[in-house]
Formats: sequence, C-alpha cells, structure tokens
Amino acid sequence: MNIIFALGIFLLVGYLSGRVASRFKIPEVTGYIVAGILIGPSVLHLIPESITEHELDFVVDLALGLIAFSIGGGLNLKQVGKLGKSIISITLFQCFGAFLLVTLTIFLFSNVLRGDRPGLLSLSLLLGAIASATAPAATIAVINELRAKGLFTTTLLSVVALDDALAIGIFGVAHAFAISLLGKGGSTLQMVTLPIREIFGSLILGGAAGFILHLIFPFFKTRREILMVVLGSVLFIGGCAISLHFSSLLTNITAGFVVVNLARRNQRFVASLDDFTPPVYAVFFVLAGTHLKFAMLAKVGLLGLIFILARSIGKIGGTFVGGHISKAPDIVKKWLGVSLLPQAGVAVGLALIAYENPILAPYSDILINVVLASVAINEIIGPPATAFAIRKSKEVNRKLIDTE
Amino acid sequence: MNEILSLGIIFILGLIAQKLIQRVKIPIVTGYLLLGILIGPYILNVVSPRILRFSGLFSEIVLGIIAFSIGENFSIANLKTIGRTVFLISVGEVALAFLAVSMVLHFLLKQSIPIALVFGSIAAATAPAATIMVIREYRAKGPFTSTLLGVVAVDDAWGLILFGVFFSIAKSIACKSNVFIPVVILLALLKILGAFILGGLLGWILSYFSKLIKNRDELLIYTLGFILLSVGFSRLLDFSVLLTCLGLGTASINFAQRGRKFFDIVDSVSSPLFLLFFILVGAELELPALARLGWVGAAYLVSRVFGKWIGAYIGAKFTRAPDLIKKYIGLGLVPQAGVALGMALYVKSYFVEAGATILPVIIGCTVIYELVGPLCTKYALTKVYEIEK
Repeated sequence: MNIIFALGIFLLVGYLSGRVASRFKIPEVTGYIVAGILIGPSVLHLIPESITEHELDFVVDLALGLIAFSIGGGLNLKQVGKLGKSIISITLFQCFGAFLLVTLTIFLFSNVLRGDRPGLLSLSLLLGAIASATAPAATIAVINELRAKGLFTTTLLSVVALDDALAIGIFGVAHAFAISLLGKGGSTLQMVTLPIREIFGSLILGGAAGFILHLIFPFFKTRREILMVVLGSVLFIGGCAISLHFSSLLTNITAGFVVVNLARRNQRFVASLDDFTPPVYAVFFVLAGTHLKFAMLAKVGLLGLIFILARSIGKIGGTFVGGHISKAPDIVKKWLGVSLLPQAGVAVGLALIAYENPILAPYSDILINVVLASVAINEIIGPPATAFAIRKSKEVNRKLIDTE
Repeated sequence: MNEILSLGIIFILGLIAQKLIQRVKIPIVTGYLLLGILIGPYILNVVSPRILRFSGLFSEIVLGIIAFSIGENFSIANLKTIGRTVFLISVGEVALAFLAVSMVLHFLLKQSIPIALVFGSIAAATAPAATIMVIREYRAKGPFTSTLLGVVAVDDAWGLILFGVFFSIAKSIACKSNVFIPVVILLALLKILGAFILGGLLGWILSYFSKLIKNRDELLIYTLGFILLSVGFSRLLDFSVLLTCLGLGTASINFAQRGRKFFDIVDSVSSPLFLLFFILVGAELELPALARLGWVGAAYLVSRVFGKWIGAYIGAKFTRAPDLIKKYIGLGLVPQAGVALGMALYVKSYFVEAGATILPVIIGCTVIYELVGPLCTKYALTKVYEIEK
C-alpha cells in the first residue's frame, strides 16, 4: 500500500459516503467521518496505521489553514449592523458556558480514567475548549438549503463565525496551560505569559498578513492566479505561525477577517478557495474518522455522553442568558442555542493539534475519541436541530425553495 | 523551517517569478524551473530536504493528472482524424532519434555498441509535462496541438518497448549471454497493454458511476480519487504511471456522456499543483552534471533533437499533414525528464559499466532539455498560428 493509493481510496470512499449521507439528508461531513471509521483500524482495516498515523500530517495542516481562513473570511462586519450587541453577548455566554460546563463535568467524572490530577485537568480543559467550537460549514449549508433570511439567520451566522474565533482562542490558552501543567519545569509565570503571547502574537501576525494581502490582491486577476495566491498565502501565514509557536488557526482566521473587511473586492479571493477545498476536506475528515477506535470508545463512552450533554446545556443555556442580558428577541433567546449544536472541522482540527503533541500523549487517544464521537453524533442530530430552530423562527423562504 | 512555511514561500516566489517572466514573453514553466534551480541545493539551498523527499510522491500525482488530461484529446472522433498522423510521426521520430544517437555515438565518438544502443533507446523518450504546460498557458488549439499531444503521449509506449528491447540486446552483447528477444518484446508489450487495460477499466468504472454525481464538489473529489487510484495501482503493479493515467483519461472521454466535465474540473484546481511541481523539478535538476557532459553529452544532446526533428518530418511526409505540422512538430518533442532519468537509473542498477557513462549524461541533458524545451514548443506553436492573440 502506497500513500497515493491510500489517498485515492480516501477520496473515493469520501465521495461515496458523502453521496449516501446527502441521500439521508445528513451533512457530508458525517458521511466522511463514518467512512473513515469503517475503513480505519477498528472495522475493515483497509488502510494500515503506518499511513493514517503521521504520514498525512500535512493534509491536516493544510485543511486547518483553509478552514480557518474561510471562517475569518465569512465574518463580514457590514452584515452585523445593529445586532452587534446581542451577537457579542450571546457569543460570549454560550461559548464560555459550554467551555466551563464541559471542563467542570469532565473533570468531576474523570476519576473513571487512570491518570494524575494535572493530566486530568489538562484533558478537561482541552475538551472544554473544543466543546465551545461550532460548525460554520454545516450551519451555512442548512441556511442555504432553507433559503433562510432574516434577523435570526443573521444572528446565527455571526455567532457561529465569532464563536469559532473565540473557541480557537480559548483552546490556545487551554493548550498552553496544559503544556505548562504537564511539562517539567514550567513556571507559574509561563502559564500566564505563554497563552497571552500565543494569542496576541497570532492576532498581530494575522492582522498584518491580512493587510499585506489586501495590498497585493489587485495584482492578481485571472482565476488561476487568484487561487494560487490565496493558497500560497494560507500556507505561508500558517507556516509563519507554526514557526513562531503561534496558533496557525487563529492567525489564519484573523488574516481572513481583516482582508475581507478591508474591502468588498477581497471577497472574491476568499471565495476562490471553494473550488479547491472539497477534496482536501474529504481527505481530512475521512482521515479523522480513521483515528476513532471502538475499543477506546467503550472506555470513554460515558465521558463522550457527558461531553455531549454538558456542551448542549452550555450552548443552549448560555444563549438564553446572553440573549436575555442583551434584550434579544424571544425567538433568538429560545432557539438560537439549539441551532449551535453542529460540530465539525474546527473541533476535529483542535483535537488533532492536541493529538500530535507528544506531551499530551497519555491522554491523546481519550481526547480524540471523545471528540470524534461527539462530532459524529452532533453532526447527525445537529443540522436537523439547526433546521428545526430556523423553521421555528419562521425565516424559511418557501417561495424560493418552491420556484426551484 | 516547517514544511508548510516552505511550501508557502515556494508558492509566493513562484507567483512572483510568474509575474516577472510574463513580461519577457517566456513560458511560465521556464520561470518555475529557473526559480527551482535558484532555490535548489546548488545555488541558494533554501528548500528543506523534507520537501524534496515529499516531492517524489507529489510529482507522481501531478504526472498522473497531466497524463489523464492528455486523454481528453483521444476521443474516438479525434483519433480517427489524427490517429494515422500521430502513429506515423511517432514511429518516424522515435526511430530516427534512436538511429541518430546510437550511430553518432558509436561511429563518431567510438562508444561501444551496447552503450550506443542504450543511449539511442533512451533518446526516444520525451516528457509531456512541460509541453502540456506551454499548451495550457497559451490556450493553444488546433490540428498541430492535438497531433503534438498525441505524439507526446504515444512516445512513452514506444520508449518503453525500445528501451526494453535494446537494453536486453546491449546487455547480452556486453555479457556475451543469450536473450530471447521475442520474450523481451512480449514482456514490454504486456506491461504497456496492462497499463492501458488497468487505466481503461478504471476509466470505464469512472464513467459508469459518474451518473450519480450531483454537483461540482462531488465531481472533483470523484475524479481526483480515480486519478490517484490509478497512480497508486500502477505503482503497485510496476506499470507506467503515464500510460495508465492516459488510459484512464482516454476511457473517460469516450465512455462518459459529456466527458469533458472531468477534465474541466481537474483543470480548475491544477494550477497550484503545476506551480509546485515544476519548481520542485527545477530544484532537483543537478547543475553540476552540466560541467561533466563532455563530447558524449554534446553529441547526445544534438543528435537526439536532430533525429526527432528529421524523423517527425519524414513520418509526416507519409501523411496528408499540412506543411506547417511537418516542419515544426519535432520542436515540440525536445523535453526529456523523469522517464529518461528512470531508464538511466535502471541502467545504472542492472548494467553497471554502461550506467557509469550514461547516467551523468542523461542527468546533465535533462537540465538543458527542460529549460530549452518549453521555448521550442512555444516557438513551434507561434509558427503554426495556434496561439490565441
């Protein structure tokens, strides 16, 4: 088995499972992950672990950069308008709500696992941070499918995008925290300075990169050139961030955000990635699926359940509180939280970042399996939940759907 | 420096090179290659070895994509019009290149017969990648372009047969052992046939199930999946990646309804892959080999191009091809790269005495052919008026 062969199988299996998934009105992402589980070591063992474990790391890095840049590019300040206050309040409350609730409950129940206190605390923090992420891609897909438009939809879109930026920030802190908790000789001071350095560094680097991109974009005109310059930039920005020990995700989000909000013309550049990303995402999610191990799942089943429940309560409760404080309309308060349940690329990506870190090795299998189980389930029940909430808000545009 | 950053830098430099090179009206591919040489190990040495290691894998994928896209020109209808011309031209240029190189090396430069024969058979090989890039960049279209694509594609099959046969003969002369030539030919034919059948079968499957595809995203994932699968399979079975993917592309255009869609969708994402591919090819060109070329190298370099040119001309004489095609088709056949290098490396492993002479020459000539080839192709395309203004 060579890598090219394996990649071909990933793509075709991904295509097939995406097809099947969309027949059952489930997002393609779910199909990809389930396909990955099927061809992975737990079930058919079609692809040897020598390939799935580390050979394809560059696909992960590439996919994460692309996901992050697109998320940032989707955050258009013009759309936010008057809703700004409730969007920010809801984002903060539901994001931290899910983070805190998951961290606390997982830590309380973590004595079912073997491990010392700092280790379990790190694991809980990381899982909490990952819980705060949502899935912009799945959410946008549902909104497009329903042709939804209105106050609820706009709020939802903005919250989803902001939430991921925030989630990545929280993860950055949690990750740095975990490293200094587990690493030998990390001082208390470092536990504070490392995350701050990482976050502010990423923001500054991403901001500067976004500005430079804004300046150079006009030089590129044809579709081919545009695709190349955006792809090259995402790689370059991500690579710089990795070299400087910043978060490549946060840096790329910032760059995408800055470049899109500097000028309307730049939207075309961010959109050019859509042509290129499908195969990268397919490989990324199928690959993620192959990391799921059933034996491990039996062990962490309870934790997975707790993770999903605590996350849902945190998201829905947090939205309610945030909406209440900012005097958002009732419909937003009640139903927006439900529509935030999908979870996909960012969560998987963050889990893979933790997975690749040797310091976290004793906990990495638990972590990735909890997250993958949650993503698989949330991607099955999440999008229907989002659709349900949007229907409740009566923002579905029947006319547009019928005319097609 | 991590790989992602290296790749990002390569991309950005590639774009700058492209912008600069467009001003002097030289093919972009030459710009990529020059940039690759510049950042490669012999000048600036800024490409990390890990990237170069990954490039072997990557270049097989890109070669697969290139061969697949050549298949687009091989629809039955198109084959009927150009098939005979392509066949005769390719026979002519392959035969003459072989004869010219082996005779010059044996009679003029007093190389032994086995070495001259092996050199001659390697001379038949051409490299489609750079030629395709030039055609793509200038959106060239017309009878010359499709004939050239055909010849470039068929060359690989001829090269394999010729090399298989004359390598065995050369070795049997040198080692005074007996080989049964029909068996060698049969084996080479089997491998070629195997590659086509494998590619054709996969292409048939691709076409058959493509009815289920709903949108562009799926189409892209699906098509790329099949290309990678073909590359992977042919590596596994030790078939030619080029011929297998050519079979895949040919089958796709002929079996599927509106088969063009597969090629269009791959074309929409291939630019960044090509950029990376040619810069890495440039970085791997071994400049020091140029200094060691000597008379043998010079003779090989010149007599091969001469043979290709005259051979293609003679082959075209027997067809009703227009004069312009006759005159210029040989110029599109200059590039030589991976396939020839592979043959030379094979010689080095299995026929050590000859390999010591042959490998350095082929490595050095690759540098020149790769840099000069695209210029020749562009010149030919301009001369036959198939470049849109």
